[in-house]
Amino acid sequence: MDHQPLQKLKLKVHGTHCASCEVLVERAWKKVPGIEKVHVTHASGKAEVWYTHKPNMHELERLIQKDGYRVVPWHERHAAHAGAHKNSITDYLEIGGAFLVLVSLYYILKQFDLLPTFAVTEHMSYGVVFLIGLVAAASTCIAVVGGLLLAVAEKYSELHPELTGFQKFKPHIYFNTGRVVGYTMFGAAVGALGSVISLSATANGYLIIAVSIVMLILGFQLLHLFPWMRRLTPKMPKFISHKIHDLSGKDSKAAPFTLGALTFFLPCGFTQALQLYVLATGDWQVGALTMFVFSLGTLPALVSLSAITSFAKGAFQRYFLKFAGVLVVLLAVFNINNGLTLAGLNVHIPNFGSSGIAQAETTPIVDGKQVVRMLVNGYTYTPNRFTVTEGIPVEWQIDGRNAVGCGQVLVIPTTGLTKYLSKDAVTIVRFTPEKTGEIPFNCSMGMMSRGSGFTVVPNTTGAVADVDAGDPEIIPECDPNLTTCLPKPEAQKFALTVTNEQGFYPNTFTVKKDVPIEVDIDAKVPLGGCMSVMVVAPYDVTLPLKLGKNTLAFTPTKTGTVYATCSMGIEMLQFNVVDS
Amino acid sequence: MKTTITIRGTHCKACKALIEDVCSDFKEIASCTVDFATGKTDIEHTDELNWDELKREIESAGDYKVELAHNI
Repeated sequence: MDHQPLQKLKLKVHGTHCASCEVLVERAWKKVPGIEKVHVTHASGKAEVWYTHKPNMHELERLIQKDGYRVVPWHERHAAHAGAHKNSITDYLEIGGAFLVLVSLYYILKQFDLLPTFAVTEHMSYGVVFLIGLVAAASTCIAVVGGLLLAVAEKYSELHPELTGFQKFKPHIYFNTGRVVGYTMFGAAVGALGSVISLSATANGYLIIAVSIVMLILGFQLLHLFPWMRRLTPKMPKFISHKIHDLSGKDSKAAPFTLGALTFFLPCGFTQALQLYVLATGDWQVGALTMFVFSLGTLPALVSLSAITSFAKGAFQRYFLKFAGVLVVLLAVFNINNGLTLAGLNVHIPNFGSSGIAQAETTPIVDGKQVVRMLVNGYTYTPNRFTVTEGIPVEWQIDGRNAVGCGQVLVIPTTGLTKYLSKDAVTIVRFTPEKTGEIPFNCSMGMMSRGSGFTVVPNTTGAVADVDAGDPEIIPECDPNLTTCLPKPEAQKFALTVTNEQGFYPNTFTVKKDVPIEVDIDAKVPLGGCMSVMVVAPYDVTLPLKLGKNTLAFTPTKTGTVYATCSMGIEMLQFNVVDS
Repeated sequence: MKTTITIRGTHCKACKALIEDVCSDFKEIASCTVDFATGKTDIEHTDELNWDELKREIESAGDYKVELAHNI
């Protein structure tokens, strides 16, 4: 033996997750001639090697590679993870390419009007529900559910780099089975209870923002952008990681299964709309079937995603991960904006992909008022941004004849204005911006063009308001000179309550024609999503439902059946109008 | 001959690899397969195998408890 002093080498071993890993790596390396001592810490993956002859890195890696570990020099540990690499120029070019492809694809689809615009309506066939599922999974819902799935998949493969494609795919099977079973069961529960499991618009907004931030970090991690972000982990709530970690030992089926089932509660427009639909039906069988069919519809897209993440190899996997990363980041940005609007804040996140076009200039002031025109087509406002002057009345002409779903109800969260857009004519909304700043608007579920709003600028031209145009909403209720001012018939009064147990109860009323109706609605539970607004379309009535007392008032002028619906057209109340 | 023993404390693939590696140091052992989920370990060995030594080696490699069958 020569008596060279021992030298130390510090390495990072990726994939060590328990004490056995330490022993395993130590044992493997101690057999290498020239290595005197090895010490591995599984938590940090730090390996210290004392040697007399410097060992070959590749040799060290080869010895433990078959067990699924990877080795990098300690000082390079952050740049790489689980066999990843520092991004090279090629990588950035690829990321940029993926970005361009996805954005162009979006615009092309938009241009040809191929983007799905499905509205949830009453009396849907299960075929339609299935289609909605297909579309949902390929669009908005993949943002949250798919993001979660990608996160789980990534975490799982990181823990088990040695697994084969099928072994990696197994948890996805449980995840998706969990989803289908969970949706069916929760669907039945919602149908049976007639209770709504949803949040207020604002809470929904914040939840979306929170989920999006997690997605954003995840997206950056997939792309290996901002290596420091890795140190920002936990990527997922601890309890999830722990459950996923448990998989390592027991091959547990429960964790991904539970996770899948719980996706029922994730904020996704389609899922929520269907939950409300089920709620309105108040039938557990319909509820179970509807959600079952919906979750089946979401399967193809999600299973494809699972399959690709599990089986992809080599260059294809590299490209796929780049696309997935860019997509997750884009969707996260969309979602954040969406959430901000719902929370009543309009912050300008650079809006690539926003379907909206801003009106170019400040709206001219003509006759003391500012006239802006907006077209609502499907789920898009055109233009969706206006610049108006402070203190001057705005006449907002909205052509909502082609609006669908929740697009039929316009909400300005900051002022509390809620307006049902007429199906037959241009709807006019008048308001006067009182102070400079932002006035965001969207539909009651925040599903329309992101970042829509008014920018109110100071009045620098000295223009004056046309006093008459200011408050035209106040129409003299009764003109004594006209015959319309007959003594008002006594209103037909009704009362109902909204509870978790019974939903809207009672929900069917027989009323007389030409006699005003007043329904006191006592909401004992907060109503969220599209349920936050009640609409009586034929009489142009919109009523934002807040917790507590609300009054719905209108006068039926035709006999037959009139429905009060949520903003997406799901029936909430039924009025049978009979001749008085 | 083939013997099945139970090792408590195996919880992951690393444990499996580790124990199989320990076994491979015994020239009396021809093959060793650990099912880390159940701890069941199938060992193909000759009569000369020193069970106590194997038990000692495995238990010193980690937090394991080797349960030898009564007939050994």
